[in-house]
Amino acid sequence: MSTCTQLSDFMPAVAQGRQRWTPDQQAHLQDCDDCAAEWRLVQLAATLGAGEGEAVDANALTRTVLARVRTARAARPTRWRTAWLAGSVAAAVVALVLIPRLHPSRGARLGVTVASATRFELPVLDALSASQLQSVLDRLDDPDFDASADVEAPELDALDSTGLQMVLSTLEGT
Amino acid sequence: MSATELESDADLVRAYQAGSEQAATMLVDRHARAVARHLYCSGADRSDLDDLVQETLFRAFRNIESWRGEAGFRGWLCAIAGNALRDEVRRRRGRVILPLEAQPIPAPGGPAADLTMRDTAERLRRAIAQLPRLQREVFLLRTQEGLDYSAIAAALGTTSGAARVHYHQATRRLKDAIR
Repeated sequence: MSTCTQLSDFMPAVAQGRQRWTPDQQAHLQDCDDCAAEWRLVQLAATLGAGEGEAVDANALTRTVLARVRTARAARPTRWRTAWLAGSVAAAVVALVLIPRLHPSRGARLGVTVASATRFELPVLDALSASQLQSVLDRLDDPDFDASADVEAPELDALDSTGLQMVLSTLEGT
Repeated sequence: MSATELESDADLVRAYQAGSEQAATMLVDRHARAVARHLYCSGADRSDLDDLVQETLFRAFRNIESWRGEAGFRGWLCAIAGNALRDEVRRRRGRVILPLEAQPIPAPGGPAADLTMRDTAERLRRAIAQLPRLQREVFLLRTQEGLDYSAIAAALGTTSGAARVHYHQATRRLKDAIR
């Protein structure tokens, strides 16, 4: 390791008062313009912004931060569960549209047609609250939702293997 | 040194996770000023510091489980602060606070240049703000927090060797800016 690299590694500690230059290092600083420039830089950086944040009230700040944390943690489970249930039901509805198209014989066994897809009862709907059911209905009532059109099923892509199995189990009544 | 000052950051984090809000207050008291200074030197406007410090601490305490102690707590906080500042800059894209894109740095020795320490410090601050993110973070953690390269690497999710390279790239650019 070169002398310049050694000095560079040492500079922050000296600037912060944790170390001192040796006589040899002092001599090198006087002889090497690059090291002298870097030393000036590090000294300046070590004191830059030194007074910022002095007015911080730790007690008040902590109260505010922890209140936000409690609020965020309280909101998280409900939001996730609602999103998962709505997504699962939407995926099941989309699957009902796709399966008769992709597997006509299977669709016939299930007694499902495209036109009747929205009347198929899904046991998972029994688990939803009134507000969650309403969100599902709102989605079905979406004017952009056309059961007779070729539908992409992005929601299915969002399901893991467990979610997909649940959809299939629901459709097969198992 | 008081008894509270003897408690390590790891001890305080464990106490907070066990439900001690006093431990959280001690962590805030110990590190909030350093976070403010880090944000300011990274280019944050003074008027935004309170909000950014609060946002940094909120993100840290909300995800306290993700700090496993490999990086020092302060280095970890400074990395979160860098993310918070980046997000704020993106949110305000188009509005000038202290932009992280190029803003003319007054040339030294020019007719209007004032070579007092205060102006030089401001030139340095602007130059630091214009560094690529990793160079900026590494430079500040090294020169202001005194972290070694392994601690910096753990805080920023890089390697010691890369941190050393970032530091030297930063010093090369900054030396020119304040020459």
